[in-house]
Order: sequence, then structure tokens, then C-alpha cells
Amino acid sequence: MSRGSGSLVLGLLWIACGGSPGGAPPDAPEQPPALVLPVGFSSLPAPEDNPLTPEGVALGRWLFHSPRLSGNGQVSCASCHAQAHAFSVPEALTTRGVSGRPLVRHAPTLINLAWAEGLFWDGGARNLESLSLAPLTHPDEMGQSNLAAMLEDLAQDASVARQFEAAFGDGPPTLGHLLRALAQYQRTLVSARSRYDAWRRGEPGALLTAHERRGLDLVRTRCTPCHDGELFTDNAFHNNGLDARFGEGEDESRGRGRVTLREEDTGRYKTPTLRNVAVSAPYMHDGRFATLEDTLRHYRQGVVPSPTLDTALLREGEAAGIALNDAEASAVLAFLHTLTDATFLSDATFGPPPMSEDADGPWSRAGPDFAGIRRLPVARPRP
Amino acid sequence: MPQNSVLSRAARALLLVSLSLGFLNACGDNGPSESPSLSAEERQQLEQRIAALEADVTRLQAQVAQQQQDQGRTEQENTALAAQVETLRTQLAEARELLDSQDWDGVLVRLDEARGEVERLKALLQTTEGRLSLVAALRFGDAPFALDQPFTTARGDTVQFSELRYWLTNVKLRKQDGTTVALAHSYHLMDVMKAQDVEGTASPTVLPARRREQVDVAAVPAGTYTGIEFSVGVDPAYNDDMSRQAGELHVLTNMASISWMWFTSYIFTKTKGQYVTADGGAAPFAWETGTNADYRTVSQTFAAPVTVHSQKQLTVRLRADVAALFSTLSPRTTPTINASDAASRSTLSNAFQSMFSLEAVENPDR
Repeated sequence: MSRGSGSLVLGLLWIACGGSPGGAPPDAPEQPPALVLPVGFSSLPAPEDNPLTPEGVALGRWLFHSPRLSGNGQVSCASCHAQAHAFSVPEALTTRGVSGRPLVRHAPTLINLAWAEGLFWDGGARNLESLSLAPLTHPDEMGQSNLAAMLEDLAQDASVARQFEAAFGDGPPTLGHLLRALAQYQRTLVSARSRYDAWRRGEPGALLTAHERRGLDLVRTRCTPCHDGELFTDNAFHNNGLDARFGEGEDESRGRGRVTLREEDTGRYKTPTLRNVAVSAPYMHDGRFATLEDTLRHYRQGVVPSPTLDTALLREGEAAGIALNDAEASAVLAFLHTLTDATFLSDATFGPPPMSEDADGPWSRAGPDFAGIRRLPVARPRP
Repeated sequence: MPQNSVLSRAARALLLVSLSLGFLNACGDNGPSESPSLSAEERQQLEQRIAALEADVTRLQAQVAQQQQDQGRTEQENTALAAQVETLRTQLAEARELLDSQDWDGVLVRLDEARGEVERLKALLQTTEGRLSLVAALRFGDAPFALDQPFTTARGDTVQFSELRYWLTNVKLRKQDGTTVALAHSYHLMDVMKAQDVEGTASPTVLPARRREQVDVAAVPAGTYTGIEFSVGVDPAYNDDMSRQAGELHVLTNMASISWMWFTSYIFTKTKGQYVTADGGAAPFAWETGTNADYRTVSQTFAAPVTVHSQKQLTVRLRADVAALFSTLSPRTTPTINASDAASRSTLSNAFQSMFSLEAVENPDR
């Protein structure tokens, strides 16, 4: 295999993370799970003009779960980004949108997006602030064809209008503020509390079995440079040998090339993270593989050559793919399950805000870990 | 004003006024403190002088009021300016009273004070912001540009337009040292269009018919300028982040659409209409540019430096020749230009950049 060697330095770098459990304010009714970042990360990056604030995150959380944003009032962001499925859906091409027509691609997971650039499978959205407009208005997704009326509707609801003001200052809700609040909430969707993470941080009693350790070593050598680092993605775009032919022009199967219009980007798609991969089936941009076993089978013996096939998959004198024998594949599978972050998948502070009848608004103040966010060191603005 | 200095100031004032106005022929003989009587002619000259200053003050007052509308000033500055004008009015009223009581020294003192005050106010207004009108008058070659009217391109096509729109952004004035002064909130949507539904809206939301060829900027920093720059399109800082809003930037103007959102870009320019096909029929063409690669900057140098401050008006008249868009592109061979056609977009963006030429620069007093 002609690939760069992956990092084998494991279990050596025990870097204290910024969100380690600390004391919640004494008057807090309950202590929500502390915001924990992956090893090596000390802050949640955010653009200078949209820093994370408890009010902004709370508003974004409510907006994310509100069907009022959609054209028919029945579909929210969460409809196709369900927390239990790592903010994706179990069907390949979902029909959960307002039109009931199947989408062209599998709903991507929303994990550790604070460190991602180029969102969607083809990277068409440059940042979280710009991301939400497309699904919001797409006729097969949330189908909101009247953004002005939607904002007017939100402005008419005094409690919602108040939350906008709390987050962004005086004035009626604007589209820009709505996009910013959604971006803030999505930046807090950090997954770093899996069994792997606990072991990585050297927490007492956190162990990986020898089989799982073997799987990790294999991931670090055979699945890099794509599924690299603590995020288990290089956040780049690759052609992993799914198809021999691709569309042209505005055809979605052109992949990354549809956005950059460059020949070499034809058939390339964003590397998804391996975090929570065991609960985010089906796999690939179109959800063509139902199971992890199917996916590994593809890399072992199903890679199809094409002009833009990633060179990491080329092998001297052999068909393209990744060399893994049955025992190795079994170890890799075992390891991938250690990346399941049960807290991330069930953390109520990521979920729909509890309904509340008090004058403060339709959601409770006890939202995401505000204190945790406040405790984080000041994030460096994105360049 | 301190009363103990009135006499010495009176002497100085008389000298100053007589020298500058030359109306007291005998002043050298009589001396400044001895002016028991003035001729009718001299008295009339004093009255004229007061009237002239009053006219000055009225003009300045109008400028101050105009600036308050331009919102180039803070509330505090506005109050201070209004107070200065009020002081002037009082001084001149006092001068008239003193004239009636034949206190010539007193008149001269008040006039001297008022003149000083007027000069200070003028100097202040000259350091404060002025206004710019940038006119980009659409033409097609020698003819005025209009919708639904046939034009012949250099390549022999017959075209007629249903819509022409573009973002004119980031207007900057160039100083003599080559640096530029960027004007704030500089995102302007220029267009010639018929009424149209806002794309994708379910209920009838209509953008009205509009012809917009002029940008008016208040609060242009005072200075001497040798040229102007502006861009066609939206700069990456704002184009890459749809949540950022400035000037007239907004996604609900039909200058953004789902197909362009996948590229995270506004539509920079839209040129739509019909062309005559080979068999004499009509077929539509629709050209759009967008993405950071299509951002273009236009630079024009003035024939002579211009001055901008609150007492001057600067009007820059550009000619925007739509025929330039058709010098290399033809709707016959390229009826559609959109996000997925980078090469044609680049050609069209270059054409938009080259369509502007400087026709006139006007810099009169206000």
C-alpha cells in the first residue's frame, strides 16, 4: 500500500481537556453532563461574529427542534437528524421531508461540526452559518418557501421574539440571527465521551480489550489518512471506489466536483467521522451499505477503479482496496463499537427543549451545559 | 465673551474690518476709537456686511440640518453645531441693535466675533463627511438601455432583455497617496427589472418593478480623492457566510437561490432575455455569475482630484455599457450560464468588469 503511515502513538498523550467536569453554579437545579472535548482540543472554535452564548445555543436548540420552521409546519431539522442515530436517520434516502419524496443523499450525521469545514457530503456549505438555508428551503426537505412569513410568524410569538432578543439584542428575529443560533447549537454537538475517549483519557476503569486495541491499531494504519486523528476524519473529500462512472454538470453524483467544478474532484465525498459509526447506519453518501460489515467488505474487495479513485486505495500489483483479513476486520469492527458515545446519543440537553408554560418561553432554562460552555477557554476565531 | 477686552478688541476689529472691507476711507485719520458718526453710505455698508453674514449663517444652518439627516454625526455633535449656529444668530442680532444705537465700535466687535465664528464653523464642516452619488447609467452602445427592446450585439445577435441585475459593492475612494477609503455598508443591488415574485415564496410576495442606476452615500469621509473603486459581486467575507448582513445584502431578493446555496454564494449578476435564433424564432437566454472566483473590482481615475466634505457634492457619472457583455459571449452558443459553468462565468464576469467607463465627475459646492 502506498499510503502515509498512520500515527501509532497511542495512550501516550494524555492531554487534559478543557471541558473536564467542574462545579456547576451552586444554584443550578441539576448538573447537566459537562461538555467534554476530544483529547487534544481545548476550545470550541467559532467565528468572531458568532461566538457561543448560552442564549444563542438555547435558541438554536429550540429552532433545531421546531417544526414551525418548515413549509408544512410538521418537519424540523431533528426529523432527519435524530439524536439516537447520531443526528442522522436509519433509512438510506429518507422520505421524512415535507414532500415525502426520497432525498438524493443520506442525511449526514452532526458530530463535532465545530471543527469541520465544508459541510454536506460535497462540502457545498462553507460553514455552519450558511448550512441551514439549503435544507430549510429545499422542497423535499423542510420546504420553507416563504422565509419572510416564517420570520414574521416567529416575531409574532412574544416568547420566541424574547429569546431572539436575549441571544442577539433588540430587534425582531432576522434570518441571519436564526442561522447563527442554529450554528451555535450545532457547534455544541460534541461527541467525546465514548468508551474509547475514556480509555484515551486514562480514566479509572476505562479499558479497551486487546481485540479492540488491535482494531484501533489497524484503523490508525489502514484507515488513515482519511479517518485520521481524534475526530476520525480528515474533513477532506475522497473517491473511495464506490462507482466507475459519475454524472456531469449539476448531477449530484458528481460529488465534490459539482461544487468545485474541477475534474479531479469528480466522485469525491466528504470523509464522515467514525465516531458513533455503529449507530449511524446505513453508510456512504447514498446509504448504499446497510451494515458496517457491508462497508468493510467494500473496502476489502469491492473498490471500483475510476480516474479519480483515491491513491490511498491503490496497491502495487493488486486490485485497489484495503488489506484486511477476517481476523483484522473483526478487530476493526470491535474497535468501531468503542466509538459509540451513549451520552452523546441520549444527552437530554441536546434534545428538544422541555415544554414550559412559564412566561420565560416555550423551553426551559435548564438547557445545554451553559456553565460548561462558559468554562471553555475563549475560542480562537476561524481564520 | 469677556467685556474687559472690548475696547482693545474693538480697535483691532475696526482695523481688521476696515482693511478687509475698505469702507472706512478716513479711518487712518480719525483713529479707531473716534468714530462719532458714519456717513449714510458707511452705515449702509455695515448693514450689508451684517446681512451677508446672516446669509452665510442661514446657508451653514441648512448644511448642518442636512447633515443631521445624513446621520453622519452623533447626537452630541449635532447639538454642538446647532449651538454654534445659535451663537452666530445672537451675535448678528446684537450687531443690528448696536447699529441702531449708533455704537459703531460695538457693531464692529460683534461683526469680528461673528466672522471668526463663521470661519470656525466652515472649517469644521470642511473636515466633516460629505456625500457621494455614484451613477452607473446603463447603455447599450450608443442607445439608452431598456427592457423589451431589440439590440444588436457586436457578434451580430439580436437580443432583448427582460432583466438585468448586479451587486455593486465595496465602493472606495482613492486618495492621492494611493490608499483607499472604504465606504460603510456598501452593498447595493442595481437593477432593471419588472415586478416578479420572490422565488419560492408560497404566498404572493412581489419584488416591484425597478430601475436602479444610482448609489447615494452619505457620510463619505472628508478628503481629496483621485479615483473611485467598486466591485461587482459580493466579497468572500460576506459571500461565504449567509448569516452576515450588511447594506442591502439579503437572500430574499432573488439574488440567491437553492442551486447557488450549494455553492454558498449569492448570485452576483443576472442577465436575462431573449435572442433571435437562426431560423428567426425567439429563444430565452439566462446568464448568471456568482462564487468568489467571479468577484471583480473596477477602478477609475478622475481627470482631476476632487474634494469631499460637507460643503461639497461629489457626483461620479459612469457609463455601464451592456453591449460589453456580448463582445465575446453569444446567447446563440451559450444560452445558459450558471454555477456549473465556471469558464463562461469567468468570461462574463470579466465583461461586467469592463462595462464601466467614466463619463463625468461633478464636484460643485453645496
